Amino acid sequence: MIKPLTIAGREIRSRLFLGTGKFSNSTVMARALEASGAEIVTVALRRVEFDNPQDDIIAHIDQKKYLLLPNTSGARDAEEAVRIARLARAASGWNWLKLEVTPEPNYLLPDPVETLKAAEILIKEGFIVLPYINADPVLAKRLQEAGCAAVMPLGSPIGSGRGIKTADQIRIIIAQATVPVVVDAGLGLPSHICQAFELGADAVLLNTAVAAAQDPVQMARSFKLAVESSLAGLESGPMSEGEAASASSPLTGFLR
Amino acid sequence: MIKVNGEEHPWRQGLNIAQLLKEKNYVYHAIIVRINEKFVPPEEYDVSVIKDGDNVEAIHLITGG
Repeated sequence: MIKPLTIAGREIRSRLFLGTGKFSNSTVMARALEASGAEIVTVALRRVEFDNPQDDIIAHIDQKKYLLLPNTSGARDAEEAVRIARLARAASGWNWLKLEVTPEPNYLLPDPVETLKAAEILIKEGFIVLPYINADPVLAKRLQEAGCAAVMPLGSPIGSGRGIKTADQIRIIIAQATVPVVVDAGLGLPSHICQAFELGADAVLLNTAVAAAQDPVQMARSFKLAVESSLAGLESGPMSEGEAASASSPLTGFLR
Repeated sequence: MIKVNGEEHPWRQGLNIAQLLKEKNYVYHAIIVRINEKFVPPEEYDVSVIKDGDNVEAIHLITGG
């Protein structure tokens, strides 16, 4: 039985968080959410496009089943992130937030200084802050000391699907963590999920890996299975690694 | 003339937010409205009068990662 994850005192039943971006349409998105088993789903905040009313996705997300995690995407510094966060709280009616501050568009790498600055302000204002960060153990520690509810280090750049290129740093983040560690960004395959959990991550956050698959619904299901498989395997007490072979068949009665 | 999400929109005396959203075929959930960067609570949409030259922003949650 996989233990539920607790973030900011709230029990989260799925360790897979799913982004809602880049899906071809709302129906596919809703089916992929269902297939993934995710409870936490990320959303963004934008100006309403009145000429394109079909983009009202919130209507397709059953808020009894899913917990919306608004992000601060588009923020280039702490000031913008704080402004977006306050609007997100007004729009969503609650205070959970994926804090992301990404000043440059090519790699969308998070700005550590501005992220910490924004986190400190938002925590004082009562937000539950889950910051998206580079896999920097010093920053992760500063953020958890500041009162963040989790830290979300990247495996590789957002939407790149390159998997976990930051394993050694994530291992240190996990070793010193007093809050849940969510590997966010860059995950592309079910095997990347397994790697994240084997490193000791508490949860993973995906989006493009599902949305950009040829069959997003089946891919969502495959990630759900990868999470269940990884966690069940780890809870089963994996064998120890050895240098030499250890025969599986009896070493007596050979038919030579 | 007022601005609605960055675009010009005709203004008339007494125009309020509820009327404006109706004119714009508002169908969204979880919308928030700001006038000149000041947040307007939903319960004030039908009494909050928009002045000529105001900058009205309608913001909502949308897909994202």
